[in-house]
Amino acid sequence: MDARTSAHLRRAERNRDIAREIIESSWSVQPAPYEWAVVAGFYAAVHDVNAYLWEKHQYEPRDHDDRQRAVARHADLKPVLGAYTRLRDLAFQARYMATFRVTEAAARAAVSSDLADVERAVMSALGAGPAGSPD
Amino acid sequence: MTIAHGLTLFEVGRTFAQAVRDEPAVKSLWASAHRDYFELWLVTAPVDADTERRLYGLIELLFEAFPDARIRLHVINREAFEDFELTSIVPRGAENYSAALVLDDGCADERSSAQG
Repeated sequence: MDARTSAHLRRAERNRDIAREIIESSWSVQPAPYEWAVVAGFYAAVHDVNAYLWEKHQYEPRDHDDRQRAVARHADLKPVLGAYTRLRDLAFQARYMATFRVTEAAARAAVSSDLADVERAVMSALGAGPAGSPD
Repeated sequence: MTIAHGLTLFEVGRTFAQAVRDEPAVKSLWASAHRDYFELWLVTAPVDADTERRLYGLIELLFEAFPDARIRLHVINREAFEDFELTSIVPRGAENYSAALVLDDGCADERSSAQG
């Protein structure tokens, strides 16, 4: 596996771990900052997709729009376009819409379903095991 | 408004309206054009994550229809907002494509009155 691919996968794993830790932690800040779990989860998906695009196509997306189109364009990733787009938009709404609220359940769903789907698609295409598991 | 390749907001809005017109959870659709991208705001009734995911996946139809355009889709699930107010979410100047859905839940009136 190319070094740049591995770097993207490591960053994806770190961002996913941060998302999970935000969800599992006890917070004195109320409501708990679950919106940042969604943001970290989205950036995990970004690096998962970047890993796939680099390893399989030697392509580095220019920006979020370009990356999303790449997800739609490649058969390996197309099945998770809905999950990826949802993560992207939840992260957008979490950052920019002042009255948007992310519940614990919504954050868990984003990480355990949307992000997990993207991760599975990428790992399957790369012929790798799930992130964090022994090879 | 034309952005690139002669594509207009009307074409993008109408195409997506046709794609979601049979979705029971969809309440209204708004579209706005920016310097180099289009934005769609799909307002829904409270829906679960699976339904949201499916709606987001419909962006594929736009990517296929307009391969060179930058298009961003926002699914606005009322349930996820504290004090839901459409005018604080959809940008000023966005065009209402709800008529193309053959649906009207009062959002058009809400928007019109807020801007009027």
